[in-house]
Formats: sequence, structure tokens, C-alpha cells
Amino acid sequence: MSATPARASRLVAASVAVYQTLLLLYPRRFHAQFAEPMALVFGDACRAAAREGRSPALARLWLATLADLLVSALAEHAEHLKEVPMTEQRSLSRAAGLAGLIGGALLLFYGAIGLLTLINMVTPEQAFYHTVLYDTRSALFLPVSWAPTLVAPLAWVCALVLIWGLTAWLALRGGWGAWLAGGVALLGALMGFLGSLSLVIGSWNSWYYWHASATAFESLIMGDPLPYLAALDIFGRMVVGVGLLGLALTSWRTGQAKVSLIVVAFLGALALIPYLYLYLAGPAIILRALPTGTQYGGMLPWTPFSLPFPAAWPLNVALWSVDTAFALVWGLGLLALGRRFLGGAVARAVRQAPALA
Amino acid sequence: MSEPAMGDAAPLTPAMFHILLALAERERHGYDMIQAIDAASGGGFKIGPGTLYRSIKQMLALGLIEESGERPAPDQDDERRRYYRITAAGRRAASAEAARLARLVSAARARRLLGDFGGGEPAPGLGGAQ
Repeated sequence: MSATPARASRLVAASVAVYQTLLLLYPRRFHAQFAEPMALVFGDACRAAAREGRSPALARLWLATLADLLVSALAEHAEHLKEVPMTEQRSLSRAAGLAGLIGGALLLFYGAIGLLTLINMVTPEQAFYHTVLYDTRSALFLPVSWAPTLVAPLAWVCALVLIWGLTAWLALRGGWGAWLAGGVALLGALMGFLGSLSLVIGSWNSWYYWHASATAFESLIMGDPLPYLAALDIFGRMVVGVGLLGLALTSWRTGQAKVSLIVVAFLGALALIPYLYLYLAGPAIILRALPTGTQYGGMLPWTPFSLPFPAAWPLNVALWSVDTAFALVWGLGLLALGRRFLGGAVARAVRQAPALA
Repeated sequence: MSEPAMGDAAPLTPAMFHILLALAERERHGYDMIQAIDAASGGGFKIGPGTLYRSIKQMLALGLIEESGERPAPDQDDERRRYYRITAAGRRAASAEAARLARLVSAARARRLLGDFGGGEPAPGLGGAQ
């Protein structure tokens, strides 16, 4: 179907505007030097495609241009990384390595707590460490529902955001990755907040979380910032998830340390998966989270379904299992990545990488 | 300004070689280069704005091309466009690359991987060059 001239003109103008925005993905110096002529070239190509009078021509042009943009922006960033002074590379590498090691250790600790929780959940009798376990979780890992004070969860969340965010930022060092991580992290923060809110509201009638919700609901009414802190936790996880993926992508063509980069990519994906689930579930929870009057409904936080308790229990175990596995694997990965950063291996690999065509 | 050493034997990337071929004829701006490359390769080599300007950046640094100060008449020109022309070093690099490719073509022909444009038999099953 051929587009009318006016419609074609609008399509071209909109395409050029979108492309000009996407050009921000290139390093700043390259953008300053070439963004204008690149937008002109793309505009010419759009007008030529529009003159063909068939919609697929513009769609084909967009597909080819996006692929070209992705590859060339990555290559340009890899070049840009090589130009960072050696001393700065070393100090950045050391800082990222240290952050990775601390983050990895914290995650392993979190994974160990998860394992103990799982054992406690699946055994008929309460484990002997039940009280200690819940006190520890209260102090460190469940700031929304369980925290007796602000201090420990605040410290925990700040540490998460600083360490994971710093690691991701150092890995990417601005440019397209920072834009991408920033965008997804903002989405993560928003959805994390919605999820936290839904936990507070959704568990109001839950038998399983009744004591937790009493505290949390009171917190919400009193303007307690804990749900926001939980959202920051999600923010930190998202930043590092996207950051790890970005690191893997930008370093893929170096031809060095490919195995560890595969691990990094895997860990990045693993970091994102539980939260994609959360993002899908969050709005659904909000919609159905008004009190249902089911006093013993056993609703799980983060799930879009209201399940009776016997059905909810295995789901809860599964969720804990995923989160625990995620924490353990990611913790090990961060430790490994931290070691590589400390040893300067990542900086060396980027510096020695051959130029991309 | 002295030209950075390119090294005549260093192979060019396909994008660089196509750009030099396009500029060997005359000065061109970005979209003009893309059209010339498309025409010269019979549509077989597509280059997007990102790859084009990354290559231009590298070739400027290597002294293979330079920005041209000469422009068309104002009524036929968009002042935002940048025109580029090939340098002497660029011509040498393009010639060296062409010679390298010619040697490869000869080797392929000698191994009966390519039809002989001079009337020889094409390699069995490959159809040969048209």
C-alpha cells in the first residue's frame, strides 16, 4: 500500500527524529563530530525509501540501520575505552574489583540465608536455628516486612545500590550502556516501588504474612520509607544486571576470556529474569490487591494469583529457590569478576582488543 | 601536516576499500558515497551511516581521505553536509588493496574456483562468472 505524500513526509520526519535520539548511544566525542551528517544520511535514505512508495522499504531501512547502529556504537565504545589513560584504567579496575568482591561476598551470605530458609520451610519441624535465622533476615534481608529498625536495612540497601550500581557503572563507564542501564533501572525502580506497595497492600489479609503486613501497613500509613528502600534494592539489581550484560556485549569481540564473558552474560540474564517476572506481576497485584475478605487466603507477594495456602506453599518454596540460586550463582560470578578486575584483566582485554570493522 | 603511516601492505576493511573506490572518482558527501557503493557493488555491499562514519573517522586519522573545502553552488548544496576527497596516501592504499584482491582472484582462478573472464571453463558445479 502506498503512503500519501503527507503521511510519508510525517513518517520520514518522525524516523529522523527517533534516529537523532538514538545517535546519543555513540560516545560523546563521536556524537559531536558525526551525529549531524549521520542524521542527514539517514534522512536521505528515508526519503528514498518513501519514494519507493511501499511501507516495507522504510521498515527494511530501519532494521538495517538499527543493526548498523548497534554494531558501530559498540565498536566505537570499545575504541573509546582503549583511549582511557592507563593510570585511570588501573584505579577504575581496582575499584570495580573491590566492589565486585564485596558484592559477591554479600550475595553468597544472602544465598546461605536462603538455603537455611528453604530447609526450614520444607522440614516438618522448625529447624533449631529458626529464631536466629528470622532475626538475621529481619536485620538484613527483608526490610519491607520484617525490619525492626531502619538502620540495618538502610545500610543493606545503600550497600546494594552502591556496590552493584558502582560495579555496573565502572564496567560500562558511561555511553550507551549507561543510557540503557539508566532507562531500565528507572523502570526497575518504578516497578519495584509498585511491587513493594503491592506487597504491603496485598498481604493485608494474608494469613501467611499477617504479622508482617501489620507492621508494613502501619509503616505505609506512618510514611515509613522502607517500601521505597526495597524499590532501591531492585534498582541496584537491575543496574548490575544490565551492566553485566553490557560488559559481556562490549567485550565479546575481544577474543579473550570468552568463557568468563559467557558466565557474565548468563549472570546478567539471571539477574534480570526474576525481576521481569516481578514487573509483569506488579501491576496485576496492584489491580487485585484490594482486600478480598479472605482471611486465610494465603496470598503470596509478587504473584498475580490468589492461591489457597496449600497451593501457595510450593510456589513460595520455588520462589525462594530461584532467588537463592540466583544469589549464590551471581555471588560467585561477582567474586570471579571482582578478581579479574582487581588483576586488571578486563582493562587489559579491552585495551588489547582488535578494532571492530 | 604529515600523513600518518598507513603501511601500503596493510589490508583495508571492505567498508574502507569501497569508500576509497567511491572517492577515487570524485568528492562526495555521505549519502552520495552510500549510493556510489551500492551502484559499484550491484547492491551486494550495503553500508549504514554508523559504519560509514566510523570508517570515515578512521580513514581521516590514517590520512587516507580528507574533508574537502570545495562545495557545490549554494543553491545545490546543504551547508550541513560534509564532502570528502581521497588523498595521495588513500590512492596508494586503494591501489595496494586492489592489487592484493587481484592476486587473490588470480589464485582462485588458477585453482579453478572462478570462471575465466577471458573465456576459460568455469569450475565444475559453480556456474562461473557471468
